[in-house]
Amino acid sequence: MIKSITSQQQEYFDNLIQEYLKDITEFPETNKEEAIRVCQDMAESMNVKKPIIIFGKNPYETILICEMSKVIFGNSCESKKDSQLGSQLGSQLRTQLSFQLESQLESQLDSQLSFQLESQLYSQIDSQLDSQLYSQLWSQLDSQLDSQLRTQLKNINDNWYLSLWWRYWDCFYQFGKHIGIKFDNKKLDLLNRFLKHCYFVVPHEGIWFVSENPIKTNWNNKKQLHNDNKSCLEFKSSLDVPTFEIFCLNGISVPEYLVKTPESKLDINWFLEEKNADIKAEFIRKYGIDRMIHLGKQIDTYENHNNDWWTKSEYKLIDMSAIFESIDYAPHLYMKNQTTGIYHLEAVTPDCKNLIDAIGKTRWNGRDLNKYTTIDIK
Amino acid sequence: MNKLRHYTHGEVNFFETNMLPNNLSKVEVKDSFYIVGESETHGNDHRVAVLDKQKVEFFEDEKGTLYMRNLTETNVYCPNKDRHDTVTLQPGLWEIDKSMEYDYLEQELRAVVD
Repeated sequence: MIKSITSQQQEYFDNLIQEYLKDITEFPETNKEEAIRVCQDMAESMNVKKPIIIFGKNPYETILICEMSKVIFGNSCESKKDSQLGSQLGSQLRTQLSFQLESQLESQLDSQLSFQLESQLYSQIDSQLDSQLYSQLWSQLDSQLDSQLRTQLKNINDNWYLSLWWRYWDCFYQFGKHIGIKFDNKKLDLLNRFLKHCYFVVPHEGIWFVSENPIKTNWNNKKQLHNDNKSCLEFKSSLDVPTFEIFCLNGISVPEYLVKTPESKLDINWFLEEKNADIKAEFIRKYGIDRMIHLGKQIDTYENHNNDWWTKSEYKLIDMSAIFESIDYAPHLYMKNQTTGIYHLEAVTPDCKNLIDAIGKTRWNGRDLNKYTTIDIK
Repeated sequence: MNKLRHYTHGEVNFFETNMLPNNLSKVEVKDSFYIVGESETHGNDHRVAVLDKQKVEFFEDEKGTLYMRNLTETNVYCPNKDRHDTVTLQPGLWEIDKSMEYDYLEQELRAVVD
């Protein structure tokens, strides 16, 4: 049982995490030879037919190629097994590889040390890998397929697999190997090579469709996906224009319009029609909070009330009727997110004449403010 | 009269209640957390940590309103800590409700989503 690590081993772990971070935030050029080899090795480990590998420029095109192949070749390119292969691949990664490696790790590594190492790994890698890259890629792909491809190809098989998330564990196992944990090296090597060279794959019987890596990712200094004026995850495309892009401002997935439109040309009507609070907050941040509230007229402010929470959140009630064509009074609650410092401007019902109304009648859905005291968490 | 406690975690509110309503259905919690507010934009849900399923329980009424009983201090957090600070709820009974906003174009009240 390994109960502690040396300072050199800790330094190795720190450097390994940085290597993985570099890999998942910058993405190297796709090594197609390695990708082909490891997909075929993975297929062999799953006891399925050795596949030929077709590459797409990005995840969207990869699925498109896969679907077009079915249209062109009909049933010869699709079998009943196909619908199971994606989940079988997931199961192979999870149950046959990662869980078994994890079990070997747990049996040889002291639980306290394991907890300590995993905490470091989690704090340094997980937010970027899981909450940002994995989550944004998955949701964008899902929504783009839903809105575009599903309508064009009625019978799309969304049998794709995004393996990115597993790199967190791969990093842990690689360090375990370095400090002397005895793994099944064949499984460890297969998992490591697969995750390194295939982050997105659509497996079919005898033919696997693999996406090339992104060519560029853009992050802000808080390690959130972000680009002020173009996509934050750039991919190759078969056309002269991008076929798959992801737009984010400060880690929030936003429509292309909000990223590509210069702040001076942002249309306030777009803000009015947007329903998502985070996207609206990013609109305000780009449009400029001062510019925004100057369009309105202040009705009430936290300074008129003795409430610590309201003061810290800088609550104000502002009539924004000037941005509507035919509304005489449109009170909005102006407030600051105390964690991020981002300002929100959210509409409240027209019967709100002051902050007490705005919080009680609208925000709290008709509750009596006098019954409650908001607990300050800081 | 002592006021009831209120905690906020983004658009998710926890209103203390003296007693739970009758006829609630127990909500099964499968993971070590329960999502009380889903995120549309960044996968950064509002989660309540459920470290001991005997001590942190969720219930729902017929309208879908969510209630919680925690016998121990319980954290509310987002996977990405940059978006919201973690809030520690003291033991109690809570009604969980989303903040509301008014849509002037649709002229309707709706729950805030992020």
